[in-house]
Amino acid sequence: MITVNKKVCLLGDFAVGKTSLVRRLVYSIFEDKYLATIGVKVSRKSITLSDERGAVEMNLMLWDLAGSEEFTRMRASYLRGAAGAVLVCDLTRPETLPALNVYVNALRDINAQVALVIAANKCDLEEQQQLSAQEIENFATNLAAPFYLTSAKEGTAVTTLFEHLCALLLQQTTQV
Amino acid sequence: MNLSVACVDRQAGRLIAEALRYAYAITDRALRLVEIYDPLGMMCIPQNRTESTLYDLVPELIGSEKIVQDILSGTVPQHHLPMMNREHADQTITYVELLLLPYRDSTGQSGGVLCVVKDVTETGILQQELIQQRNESLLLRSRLTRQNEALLQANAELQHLNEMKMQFVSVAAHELRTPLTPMLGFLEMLLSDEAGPLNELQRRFTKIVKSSVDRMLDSANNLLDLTRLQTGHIELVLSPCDIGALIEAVATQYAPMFAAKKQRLQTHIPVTIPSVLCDQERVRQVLTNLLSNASKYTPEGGHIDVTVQPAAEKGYLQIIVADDGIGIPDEDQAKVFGTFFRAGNAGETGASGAGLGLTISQMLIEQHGGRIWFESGVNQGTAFHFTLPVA
Repeated sequence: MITVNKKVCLLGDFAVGKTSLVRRLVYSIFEDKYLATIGVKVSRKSITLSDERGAVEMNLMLWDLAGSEEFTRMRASYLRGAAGAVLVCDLTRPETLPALNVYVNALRDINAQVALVIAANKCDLEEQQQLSAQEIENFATNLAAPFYLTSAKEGTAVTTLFEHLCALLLQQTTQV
Repeated sequence: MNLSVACVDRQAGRLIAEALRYAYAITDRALRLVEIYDPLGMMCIPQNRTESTLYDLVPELIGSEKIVQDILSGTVPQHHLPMMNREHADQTITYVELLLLPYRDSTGQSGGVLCVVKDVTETGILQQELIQQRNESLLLRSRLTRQNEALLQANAELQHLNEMKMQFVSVAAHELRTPLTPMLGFLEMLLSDEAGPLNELQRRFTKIVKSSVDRMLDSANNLLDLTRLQTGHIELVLSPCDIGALIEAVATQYAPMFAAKKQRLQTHIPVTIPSVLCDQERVRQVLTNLLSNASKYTPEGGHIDVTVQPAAEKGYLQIIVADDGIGIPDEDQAKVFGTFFRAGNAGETGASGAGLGLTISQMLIEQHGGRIWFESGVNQGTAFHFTLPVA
């Protein structure tokens, strides 16, 4: 089986649920308490896909980066080498969607071909939602990126989102 | 971390590394480990070093192979990761700073990669606590802002609904009042025998009808006044007024009402009192309402007193309308000025009312810049006080 290593960054404002998405994907756990990330935390997750070469093991190195101001200060060194990114916004905080533009610009300055997927997180908090699926879709269309309404708490669409990202990364690898 | 010289004397390097909580590793060009110094155990040192590479030592670098190759080739001078989180099995977190440099031997030849790791856990923990607190307060602020916006929106909707209600009440009161005026006129004509003499029974029935029409007209007028006051559509016409004369005039006008219940009304007006600045018609309305209430809630043969005196506030006169009637129960006293409120014992005297008079009186007095209040006890009577500014 072919093994491919890829660096994937999780980007978005603070408290949107980046760390929770990683923990859900890697450890299948969720903690309600918010714990701010500083700098970066790297986790590993292998996802197996198949293409014309047969089974491919995608070894994702997930870079869970601090949001907001901490990100601005240190972003270049953390983003270098990223092949893909999960852009995370919080459905209960509308300002976190347009804020993703800052992260996208920083990322594309370093790697114009980076594969992107949008996670509109906290879809379990239905009554508090301030962003509509249409708004997310419009934003995603502008970036030519797929989007998912996710819930790290309930696990909704988390694996699917990362599998989709892996497929995009695999396409890149094949094209190269 | 600022290491400008990657090639250091090894013994000196080890001493510095230990003192400053550093670890380092040197690789060859194939990234196989040549030398490791890690007194604090910050690297993942493999069992079989010869078979191992830089990626085994620092697994965070997996996926960043291109950067490592760029450093080896010299196209990138260094790669610096200032704050890497490492979560351990016991869920404790350590923070390390990572620096990759090209390793040059003593001849200056590029021979591999130098990886330096520094333990910055103490700084990291402090930084994390600060950022945690800041983010939590930002989240709270954002939540409060959203709640505030929602409340403002709800308030605007309520105000709109209230305006619609007021508009409806105003139109309804107006439409009710319009036919009452000719009805009243014709009833008065009947009672004055303009349509021929009435027999005793006809006169009694006509008087009952007129009394009901009077009440309906009062209610319609009160509703109109209330809506106008609440929407700010009543403008006072202020002028100096002899309050003593006004009280006497109202007392005279309503003397038949007191006489019908054998009640004694006494006025206590000092000979020399200053004029007050008020809308005479509106103050007349307040006095009428208070005197009417006093009569309604005082049994036959009771006493009603109207007193004028200087108020405790300088520049105001105080008018007191006191009775020895049924009083207001303690549990109702806080609601007396509320719209459509009637005290629990109001029905005892058979008196009717919509519960608007005191609300309107309060609004009118406050619009004059005065205040209104009362003292009362069950079966101990009630005294309403209000103040008006001296002209």
